[in-house]
Amino acid sequence: MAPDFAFASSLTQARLDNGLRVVLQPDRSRPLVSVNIWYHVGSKNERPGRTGFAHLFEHMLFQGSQNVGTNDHFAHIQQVGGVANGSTSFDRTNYYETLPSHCLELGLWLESDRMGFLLPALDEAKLQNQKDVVMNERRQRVDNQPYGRAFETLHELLYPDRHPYSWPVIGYMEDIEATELAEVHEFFRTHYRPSNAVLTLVGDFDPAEAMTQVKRYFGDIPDGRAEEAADGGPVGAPPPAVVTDTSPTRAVRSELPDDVNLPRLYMGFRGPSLSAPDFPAGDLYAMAAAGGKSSPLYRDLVLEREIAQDIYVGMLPLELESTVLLAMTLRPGIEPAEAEEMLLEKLAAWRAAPPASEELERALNKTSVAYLHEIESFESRADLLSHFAMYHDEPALIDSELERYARVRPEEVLEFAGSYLDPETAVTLWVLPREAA
Amino acid sequence: MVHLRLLTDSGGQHAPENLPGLPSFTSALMDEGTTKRTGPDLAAEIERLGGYLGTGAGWDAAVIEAEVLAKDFATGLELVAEVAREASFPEPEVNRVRRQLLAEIVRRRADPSSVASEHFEGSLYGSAVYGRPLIGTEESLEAMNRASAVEFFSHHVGPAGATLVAVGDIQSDRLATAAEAVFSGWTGVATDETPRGAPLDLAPQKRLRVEIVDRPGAAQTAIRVGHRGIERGHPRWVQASVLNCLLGGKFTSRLNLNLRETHGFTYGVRSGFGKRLGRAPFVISTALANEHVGAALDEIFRELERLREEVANDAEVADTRDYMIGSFPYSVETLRGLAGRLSDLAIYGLPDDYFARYPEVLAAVSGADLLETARELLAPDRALVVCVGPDRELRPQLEDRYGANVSVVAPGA
Repeated sequence: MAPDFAFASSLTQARLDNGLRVVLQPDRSRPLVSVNIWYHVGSKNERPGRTGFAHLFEHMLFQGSQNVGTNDHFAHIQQVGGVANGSTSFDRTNYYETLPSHCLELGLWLESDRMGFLLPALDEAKLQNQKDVVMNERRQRVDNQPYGRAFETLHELLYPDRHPYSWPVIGYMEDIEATELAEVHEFFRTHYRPSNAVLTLVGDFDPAEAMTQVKRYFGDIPDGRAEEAADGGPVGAPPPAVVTDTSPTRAVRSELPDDVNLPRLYMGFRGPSLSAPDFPAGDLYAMAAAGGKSSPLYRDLVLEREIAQDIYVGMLPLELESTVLLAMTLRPGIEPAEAEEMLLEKLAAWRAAPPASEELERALNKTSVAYLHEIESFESRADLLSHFAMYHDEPALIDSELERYARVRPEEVLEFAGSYLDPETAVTLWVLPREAA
Repeated sequence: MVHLRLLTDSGGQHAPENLPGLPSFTSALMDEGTTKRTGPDLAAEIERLGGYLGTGAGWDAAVIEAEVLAKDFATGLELVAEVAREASFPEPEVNRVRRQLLAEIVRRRADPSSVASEHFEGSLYGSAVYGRPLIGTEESLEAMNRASAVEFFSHHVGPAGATLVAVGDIQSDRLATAAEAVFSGWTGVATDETPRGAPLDLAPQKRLRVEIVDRPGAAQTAIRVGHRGIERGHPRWVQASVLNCLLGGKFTSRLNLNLRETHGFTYGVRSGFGKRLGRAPFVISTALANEHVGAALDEIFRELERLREEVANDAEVADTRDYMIGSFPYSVETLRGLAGRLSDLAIYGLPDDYFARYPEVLAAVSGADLLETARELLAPDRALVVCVGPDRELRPQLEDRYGANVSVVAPGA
């Protein structure tokens, strides 16, 4: 199957003198434009005891800058009928807005004002307000959510202490609470520099005109290294080295009592980086194993044996190394030990023989359709271009990504399972109803 | 790609009084086996192509949905038609799906947000159809069997009242020919047997009620505030949409700026007039720090009263309208989004040019319209407040404010 799209030929790329990387992909099919910025900073740039910083910082970027009043960022965008948001992960933070195409300059102005002129507008009251908001976000998404603490617990167990993936992106409550304004300023100066960012535009614009506008708004923002070095501040180096130990983990088991009614099993492994050659094999493994109702794990454990209510296998794509995650919610009355045994049998089978070619074909086709969805809207296409620019140093890879997947042979999937999915290195975490734990 | 959606008039509103959830149950079973293929074979057939086939029931319609690459369009359409016409309800699948839905009910009971929504609607509508969960109850699921699903299917799923929505890389004449081929000869279900739902006839709500569903030790309280609202066909629907957007339908809404950006009580708050054929709930939803529940409710009621007392200034009204007009294109940017809008035309009987005229209709809404709409459609003095959280922390705050209107209730009671 050769999905029918090509963006590489329409790309314009530039690197401004201050180091900002710019990617433009004109598409006149809709009167819209998406402005998308990635900063190469995530929770992995934090330190133990100071977690949640990158994400809290993302909130602060919506609190106004020198020329944009508190709360006016969204107001400016919404009053022209635009939509905007941002998100933080382990490796990067993104910000984006989609606007009617004649409002491109508004988007560029807002993004450049907060890249260049954020600090004068950041005060104690705004920080306290957003600390409260984020602590409520943590309660809503983690602490008061069934199974909400499972993922962070799994990562704590999977990665060694001080490894940058060993703490959660949203951070721990006491760390969020302890954040100080001075640290926010330092974090900004260290990470929110043009040379640490990718700006992507997708939509209805003339590339030459758009590039001129980009230069007008972003070109004068200093990268900051020189003057900071001069006044003795941080020089933009990454934070002190953290453990990135990749020695094999040992098998770990744990139980987490929670306010849930059905036990859920989480099993995690340390997998390859998202840019590693064997990453696609892992992704296809996950899709072949449990993607869709006709996948072998779903069919066997959910439909036939009725052990599980649902089953998930997936790769969390990360820059240093990815997390391979299996999760399975049990049916009422099923014994956890029995269910775990069955899942381990399945894993063993996948480590013993390559997937049948029709299983791999199904996985590839499903992956292709999912990818077509990702390039469908301007917003997610722009995000994908930023992704390739930042992690692979080549946005044009948006066109050939599926070929990486199509080349994967069954033996490579087997090799992946052999290398990474060793039960001797698995982290097994059971989330159990409180009374049973 | 092509997105296909067959809507049938077999949604939750047609649930029999003694079997809430039967429309969902029937719908869930339709792709679990046909006279030609087993459920796993159906799934394998579509997933082999990278596609998706699924069924589900909302209140106003049930849907059979498929998504395939354009080259596989014919297969997608054939499977949709097969599920609609020839679902066979195999006995073992009936029992398996029942067990799966029962487990889903058990799972949801641990989720504070689901508990809050379900309790809110149950308390608002009582024994009327919207008062019982779309998915059904443990009792009703235990009582359903193959015969009940087959009966519901034969009375509600048929060409009368059905609409096929297709969006994507396909020409209309080819679509028409293909649809003719797979749906010709499909019979059953006269329209007058299953009239689309009328507004529910219910006794009016009389007073403010505050109900606590106790969750000892919960880190946060899930909140619903609202009352019975309006049907989609209500003459003030568009004004109500603008009013709601200004109140709690966008990031810069009054409620979100107040509760989140000014007070830091919550991660977010939203409001909405439910979109249904009957009188759907008007509801404000949020999750609050336990110690701020009382103070946050004060702010929520203050905002509701303010809408009924003061005309919003022109700039705020214009910003809200412009946001709704400007952001409309994103909602039709994807195949799925566009299919959803087209489904609205079919389900709610809107004219074909409805969305073309939508911007100008929105543009005509004034501050005075919103004040009138708020006075007519918002009733804070008769609202229902549901709080799912630790009673010990909540009761003092709530009794202080609402006295005898406060009660502690068991979930679902």
